[in-house]
Amino acid sequence: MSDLALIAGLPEVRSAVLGDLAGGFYDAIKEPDGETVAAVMGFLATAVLQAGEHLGLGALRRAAVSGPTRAHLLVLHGTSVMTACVEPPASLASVEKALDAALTGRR
Amino acid sequence: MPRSSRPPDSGAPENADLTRLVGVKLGNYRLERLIGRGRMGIVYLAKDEALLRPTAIKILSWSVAEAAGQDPMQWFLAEARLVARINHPRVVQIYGAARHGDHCYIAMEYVVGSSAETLVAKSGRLAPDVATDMLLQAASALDAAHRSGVVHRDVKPANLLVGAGGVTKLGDFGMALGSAEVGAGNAHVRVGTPYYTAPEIWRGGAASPASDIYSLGATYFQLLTGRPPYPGQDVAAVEQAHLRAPVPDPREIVPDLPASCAALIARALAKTPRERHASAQILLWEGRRVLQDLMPAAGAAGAPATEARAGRSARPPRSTPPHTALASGPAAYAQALGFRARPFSLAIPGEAERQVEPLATLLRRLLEWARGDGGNVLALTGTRDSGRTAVARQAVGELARDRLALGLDVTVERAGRSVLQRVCRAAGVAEEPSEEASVDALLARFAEERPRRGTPLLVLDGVTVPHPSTAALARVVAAALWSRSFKLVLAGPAGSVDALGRAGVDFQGEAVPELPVPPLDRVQVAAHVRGWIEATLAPDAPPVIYSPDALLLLALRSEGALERVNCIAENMLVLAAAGGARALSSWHAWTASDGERWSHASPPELPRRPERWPPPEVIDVIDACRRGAGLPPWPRGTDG
Repeated sequence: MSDLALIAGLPEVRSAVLGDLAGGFYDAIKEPDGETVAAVMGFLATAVLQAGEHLGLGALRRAAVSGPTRAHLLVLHGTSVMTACVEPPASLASVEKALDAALTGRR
Repeated sequence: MPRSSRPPDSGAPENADLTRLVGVKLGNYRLERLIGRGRMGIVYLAKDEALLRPTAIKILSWSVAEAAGQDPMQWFLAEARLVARINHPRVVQIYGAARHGDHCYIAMEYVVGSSAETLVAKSGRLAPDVATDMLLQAASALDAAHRSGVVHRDVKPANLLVGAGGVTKLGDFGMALGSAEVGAGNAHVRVGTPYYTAPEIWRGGAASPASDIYSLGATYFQLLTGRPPYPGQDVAAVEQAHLRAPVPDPREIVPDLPASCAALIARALAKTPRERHASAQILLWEGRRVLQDLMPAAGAAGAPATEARAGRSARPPRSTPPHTALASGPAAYAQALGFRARPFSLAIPGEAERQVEPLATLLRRLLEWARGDGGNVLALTGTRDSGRTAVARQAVGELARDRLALGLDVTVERAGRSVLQRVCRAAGVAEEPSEEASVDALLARFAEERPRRGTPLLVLDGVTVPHPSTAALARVVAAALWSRSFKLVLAGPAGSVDALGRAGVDFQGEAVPELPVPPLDRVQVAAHVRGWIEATLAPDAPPVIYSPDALLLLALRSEGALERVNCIAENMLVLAAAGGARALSSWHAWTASDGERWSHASPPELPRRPERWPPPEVIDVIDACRRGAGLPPWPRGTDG
């Protein structure tokens, strides 16, 4: 099972997209417009990376943006950017935890 | 002058009906038709039965002249002498003045056509280049008048007579008598038409060249927008607006107008004379620069996509249902997305903030040639939408900073004017009766410029064969080659110089160097799009995001031709604005037209994005693009 499928398999995750920092679109699960999501998340990831550098965070791993009804979790690995749409936003923490556990177990 | 000064044999009653003189013969002139009424008299079209030419006959209206306290004959003769001493092709020519029985009349050149006022009334407003061309011609006429010591005092659209080929002449110097010796006593009488009258005149000041410049500025405003700058309900309101209201920005009425048009108006309509153009000649020079800005963008606005487009993929049908409409064209979508100016227009924001390699290299080579001592004729070759026009335009703009640099789009005959006529006009040279004399005048102008500011440059863009003005082109080429007083760029498709040679244009055995406009590769296309968006997006606006696939498809569809890139990219933004989105995807790049500017449609019917995108056939195209860029294929197994 790919990382994308792993993320998308979490019950609170509505959809997931795999892209890169340049906004390139590589894969999507349950997302009808993966291309746009990848482009936007590539843009966001690049900006967040720069912000992380300014804040001295080192190699950035995750970022999240949250709205009233849903949130997006951004997972960076090298130049790859994985995005999970989480609903409701309150589930963000549990998704992150599950993701950590799953990815740790795989590595 | 007392009323008794009327000629003793006149016998004309105060209310003589001067409108019923059709058929009457005054001297050699047979009155044929009433064509106008001015403050000073009635104007008839007449036939000069000696010279067999149409002539305008202006017959004095007695009461008006007497009300002004002038001897009617002296008044009329004064006007005739005034105008007669202005020897300029853009001033309505006076053939003679005489008295015939009860009637004093002036025989004048009859301009076949309409007044600018009529043209504006018919079409709402004039195209900026047409309006600016009229401004230039009127400024040229005013300059000649002022140099002759004559202040017109009633410059307005109705007094710009537009004849065949757009030749515009300044007429009706009837109000100019204040500046003549006869009317010196009336110099402070407020004259003119309220919509165009300068503030100092409203304050009771004397008419001056500066007040003429103001009136011409107000006229230009009306030509561009269709209404005067201060359209008040009554004279008092108009007066107050002229005196106190800020100078209106014509772009609030016509958002597409270039800033240079607005800047010219702002200066001409300044409240105090010293803030205006120092002379009509200065106005003429500034107007010429504005006209350069307005050099039509080949391919920019609905240019037919006539070039072969080998290898292009099938396009989706345009019959998709209407999605939404933008309220008012380019300004609306630019505003919706937060652009400072309309992106992807040839009107470059600020100085050329972003230059695209290899076009920047091409521009540098062109500038080096123009500033160097090499040959005098060069060919700039490329398809119509290759970016040839953008390069030519940037070269003209760059060189205009230190020398006379003129650019003309000769693709299309403009209102029957030949290339030579248009070059003369752009150079501020009065057209002479013959082409030979026009060339002489043009060369004199270039020769005058050359030692002062360097060799002038003339760019003729859109040189094709056959061309309606091949003979005129031949004259211009010959003039460049034998006089060496200016440099000439012939911008056209590849092979146009050879074709001109075959059509009889004599290059005098000189090899004409050629600068071909290269196509942009996908990396350059992407850099161009990113650069332009960054350059024109307002600093406080949210970003516009584009997917790599969108840029790949854009590069594919445009085939690297700059103008096609611009057209597609602009239409992608229009689509995004209409959809309330700020992200450009492969759907935008696939759907956006490469032939028409959707932002110009009023309002356009824009395609709607389908539920599922992309369809398999588009994925095939995207995959081909991705392979070329070294990217993995589109995820066909996507679980949408």
